Amino acid sequence: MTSTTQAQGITPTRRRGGKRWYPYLLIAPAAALVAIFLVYPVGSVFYYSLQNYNVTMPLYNGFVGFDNFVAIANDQKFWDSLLFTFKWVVVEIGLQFVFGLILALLINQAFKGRGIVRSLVFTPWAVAGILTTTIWLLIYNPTTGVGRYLADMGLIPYGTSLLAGEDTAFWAAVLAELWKGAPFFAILILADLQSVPAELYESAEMDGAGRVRKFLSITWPHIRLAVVIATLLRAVWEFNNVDLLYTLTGGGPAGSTTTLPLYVAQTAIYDRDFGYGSALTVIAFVLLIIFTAVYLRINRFGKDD
Amino acid sequence: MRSKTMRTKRWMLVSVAAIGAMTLASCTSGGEGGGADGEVTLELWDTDTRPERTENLEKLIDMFEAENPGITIDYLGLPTDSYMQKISTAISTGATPDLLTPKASDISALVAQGALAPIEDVFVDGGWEEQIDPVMVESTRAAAPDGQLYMTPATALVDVIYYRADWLKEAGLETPATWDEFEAAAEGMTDKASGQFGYTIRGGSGFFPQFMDMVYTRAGIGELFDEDGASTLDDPAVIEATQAYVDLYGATTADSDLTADFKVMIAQFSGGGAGMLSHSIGSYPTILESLESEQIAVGLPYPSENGSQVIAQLTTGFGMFADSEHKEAAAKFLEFTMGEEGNSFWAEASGYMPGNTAVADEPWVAESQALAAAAEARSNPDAIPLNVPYYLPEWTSITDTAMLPDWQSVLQGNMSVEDFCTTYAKELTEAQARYEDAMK
Amino acid sequence: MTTTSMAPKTSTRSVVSARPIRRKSAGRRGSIVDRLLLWVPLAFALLFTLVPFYWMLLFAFRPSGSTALFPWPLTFEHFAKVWTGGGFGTFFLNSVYVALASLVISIVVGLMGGYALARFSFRGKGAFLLVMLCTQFVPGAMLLIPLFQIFNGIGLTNSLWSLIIGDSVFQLPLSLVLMVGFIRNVPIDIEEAAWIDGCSRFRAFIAVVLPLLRPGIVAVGSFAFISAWNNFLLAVMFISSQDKFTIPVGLSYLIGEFGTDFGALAAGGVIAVVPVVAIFAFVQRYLVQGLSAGAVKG
Repeated sequence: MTSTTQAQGITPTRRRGGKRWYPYLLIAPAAALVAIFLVYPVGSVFYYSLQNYNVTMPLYNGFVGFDNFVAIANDQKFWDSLLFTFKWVVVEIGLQFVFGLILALLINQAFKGRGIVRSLVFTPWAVAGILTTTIWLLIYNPTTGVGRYLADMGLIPYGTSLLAGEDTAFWAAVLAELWKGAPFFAILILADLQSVPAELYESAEMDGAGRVRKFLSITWPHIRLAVVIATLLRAVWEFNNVDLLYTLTGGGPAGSTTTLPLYVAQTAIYDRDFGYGSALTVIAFVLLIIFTAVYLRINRFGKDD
Repeated sequence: MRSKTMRTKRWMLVSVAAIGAMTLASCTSGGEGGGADGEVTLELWDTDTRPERTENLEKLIDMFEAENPGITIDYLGLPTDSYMQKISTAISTGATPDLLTPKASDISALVAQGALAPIEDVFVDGGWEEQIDPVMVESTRAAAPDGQLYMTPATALVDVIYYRADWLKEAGLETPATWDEFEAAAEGMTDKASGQFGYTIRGGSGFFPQFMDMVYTRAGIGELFDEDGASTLDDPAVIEATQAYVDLYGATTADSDLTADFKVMIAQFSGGGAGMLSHSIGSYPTILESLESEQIAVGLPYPSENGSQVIAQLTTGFGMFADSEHKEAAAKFLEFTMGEEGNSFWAEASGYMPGNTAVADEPWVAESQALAAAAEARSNPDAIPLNVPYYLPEWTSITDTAMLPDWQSVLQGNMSVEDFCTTYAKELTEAQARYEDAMK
Repeated sequence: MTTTSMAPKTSTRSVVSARPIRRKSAGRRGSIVDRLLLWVPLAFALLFTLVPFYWMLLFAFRPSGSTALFPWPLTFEHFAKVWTGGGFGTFFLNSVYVALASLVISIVVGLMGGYALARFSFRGKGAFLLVMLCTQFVPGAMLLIPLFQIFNGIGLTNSLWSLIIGDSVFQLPLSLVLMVGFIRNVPIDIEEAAWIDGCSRFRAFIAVVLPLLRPGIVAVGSFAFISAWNNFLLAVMFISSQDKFTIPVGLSYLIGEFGTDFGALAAGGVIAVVPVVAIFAFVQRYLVQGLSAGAVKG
């Protein structure tokens, strides 16, 4: 429908006098980078998934077809990790989004010291992965962390740590990751909020609209597009990124906080069973495709993207 | 509008030019070593990079270079947690260096990838057999799949028990000398109300070395496999000792030890949360940074009930890459690390037990509490060395990755010690069988 | 989608004055409620954000072995140890170089690609987006060896450029997607107005759209800079010269099996974080700065 595309600013290529190659030229650098540095390596993972490939046991290496995948279906650890991954991503992204949104809305307002607050509040995103996990490790440690001072005050017994209980370890990890990830959403949403014309709010106020109403009818539609996609990318990233879990909980206690990608890391990297790890990655890949399709469908993405 | 465009355009030009200039500058760097007239440049990768160690290693290199003009060594520090991955990546493109600082537990994996060059010839022809501690040489050879020497047995990390001497005194206890005294001391030093625990147990990643330290020594068994290749993990003595070890958790250790890895354990001990710690002499320098040496006592794990003293130690040293183009020069460095001058400096600076027997008699060895305990082990003719089967390709994947969740279940009380031991004894036996088949 | 009906197509001036909301009504209504609603959550957010930083500062400035809740006496020994012994001086420069270059590449390629995706419909657009999205589904660690082989083939191993390209490429999908969103929020009418005035497409973009994209560029640039600054995996795997390592590698030296020096690590962390925070403190106002009046008509 030309009216919709025009309102969204998409130029059918035949306008502007025949520069058909314009978009291709613009997209060329991105396309080249992606093709060379991403597509080929991803392809090789698929290749390895069909192999038995352990660099330290070269005797058994070779093509094994779908054996790895059959083994996965019978692998209880795989199924457990799958379930946990789902829980982890949903909880984590949900919380990060909500916190980030609230943060952005708060900081979007004019108040004294806003600049300083803004810089401070966004800094967790800037901290390197190793550092984030180490700081939280120290915080959760019963001797060096918050727990010790709480115990000194007699609030909790000594020697307890959130990381030692299966449920508490989950929430401890969620909290640490939330600390790091919420600012991402906050920055993104804040930047997007700037595109909302002020008049809309003013006229809505004059019509007597309250906070929530203003948010739902004005703010949300404007930021929705970028938020939906960024959330998807972040969900995928959160799915795949194991640094925090690996260092904070090691997938424990007793394997209770092992996500599928963490299992992949343990297999492919620490056990050096690259073939099995690649097969697990392929499964994760397929699952993510399905998830993405469903997610985009739910958000009524339509044909624009 | 026009002025804004001009400004923006100028900005863009400037930043592009700046990037371009920096690129040109970086392009001129990075020449290759090994240039003219017999000048050889070797590349050395360190697998356990830390600021103090880097300093010491570079000094060692300087000492070597002073005596060997014409050979320069470039140092590269790899992070302790990811050096294996880096080496594997390098192997995949043939971009390996000349020298490495492996531990005995690394040798099997490296040899399987064809990374290391055997140094039997260098060792034997250089007459080193007589100069290096035989137990260390044997265990280094045994760590390789083919029983050959791939690493200079330059130093050894002996596993010991650290004590808070001041806590022992306060509780009116002597340094334990038997397992019963150990348990009594653990209980005596535990005061949950004030956050002090008698012991800190490793429930988290890398737990198995400490497990072996405390269980196999108590059981008095030095072999992980018997003559028939069956794992000794389900031997009744081992099971009993494991139960005693597991019983420490929660009673005389913090609950949080369930997920404790090395960092957490050290923080516990140095931070005044625990009175005893099992680890190797390698952590002594770190402990000294937070505690005074008068506050610390060091001793070996105790003899078993039938009087056998089992000693656990891990050799570390230097190795040479198979693809190195300067093997002769590299071999010279390897020999330097075993020689009196190099070995003495390196072992003393690192705080490890020296491999060179002459060096082991030097005074600084007896002066360090940790090393004195280790030397005592070496001088005991009846001591049984713990024979860890590092040569097994699946050793780390079984004992670290596979066992860990179940180990934590055992500590939590969700799995019985017998189940744990018998299950993994079976897995280890099968792994050993596969290895023996492959070697035929 | 309600966007089409809400976005006023007529007046371009509405976009110009999209300033951060200045509540003219503040002070008139129940501002106590407003202020509580603002400050209470904000206080919690600040507390949550800052406690971990305080912990890091605590360890960085406190003498080893001390367990005081307050870092007194202040000691700088950790910093000294890390800067000289840890080689942080060199790492710092390398990190700056890599992060800046990644930032420039991400912004430039992101703007170009984002504009193409936002303003045009062309053959292969859907396929490109799909493929790009799919490449995000594989964790970076699994891609290391093939990537390494590619860089080896180009002759870029052991060069900071392998890091720059690698970091930019991993950031690309996010940069593109964000840019598309931001560009889409700028009504095409503004550009059309400029075309009618006789500007070429490119000139119109630079003069009219770019200023409006400032928050977007700051956001994308920040993410790209930070991602490159903190990247550990590529730095450790692709570089083989001690003088080319970056800060995250330096930090990793402080954690290990035989020696974990929390004080030094915290000091290293402070060194790693302070520049980024400082830069961000400087640019964050662009994140919300409205457009200067007159950018369109001027």
